[in-house]
Amino acid sequence: MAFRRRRQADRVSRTGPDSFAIAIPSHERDVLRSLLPQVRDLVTDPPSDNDAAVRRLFPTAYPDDAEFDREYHHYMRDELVTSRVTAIDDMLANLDATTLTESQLMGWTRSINAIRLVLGTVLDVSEDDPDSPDESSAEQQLYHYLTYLLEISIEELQAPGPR
Amino acid sequence: MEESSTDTVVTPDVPWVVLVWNDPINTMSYVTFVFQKLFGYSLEKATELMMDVHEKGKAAVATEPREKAELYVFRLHEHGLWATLQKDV
Repeated sequence: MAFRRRRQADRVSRTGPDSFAIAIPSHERDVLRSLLPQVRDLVTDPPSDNDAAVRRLFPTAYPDDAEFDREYHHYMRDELVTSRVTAIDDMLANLDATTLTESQLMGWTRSINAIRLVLGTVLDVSEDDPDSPDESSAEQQLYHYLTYLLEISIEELQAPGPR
Repeated sequence: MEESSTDTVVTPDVPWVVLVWNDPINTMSYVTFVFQKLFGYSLEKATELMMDVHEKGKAAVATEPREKAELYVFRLHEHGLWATLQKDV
């Protein structure tokens, strides 16, 4: 697992028991707007079940029992697709919001993490990757940005209330 | 009770263990948060399980009848965690 990153700005802050202020710059929202449909496409129309990112999004449930695992994927895969697509569509619909409810922000964290899963798999990140932003590619910087956004969102979701 | 035949024995109550495996992408705070949210664990308990995943490579996060264990695995997959289930032995 990766370690917590230090916060730099108040892009997400809890303002009440069920409300969060979202102050993400518009160019960052545009980045999310371009990434989300790509993950949506990967979820709804995967190039191949052997694709590493697809396998990461739809992992094996029963490593010891092929029959149970087939059953699991047969019955649950559509639900998993629907659940992911719903979260992504909800986030796209609220992408310019300046306030979110708790359940909306939780949906955002799931979708942001889904992008990270795909990007992280493609980049083949490891836990011991040194943090060297100067040398990192555009994709790595994007991955680090999404990690940061996820971390501050979790921090605020866990925060007890307005400070 | 006599057990005359073993191949017809149904074992509905055999507990299944939900395992969460370490992966390099999910962050420590995200995994802790998901454990709290899905299982209702305290921050302390969720953090302890997350550290087990991180340090030992995996952790048993729940033990339930198969249907319920499978539902937990589904919920963990929804959140992008690497979860499996197996019979409790």
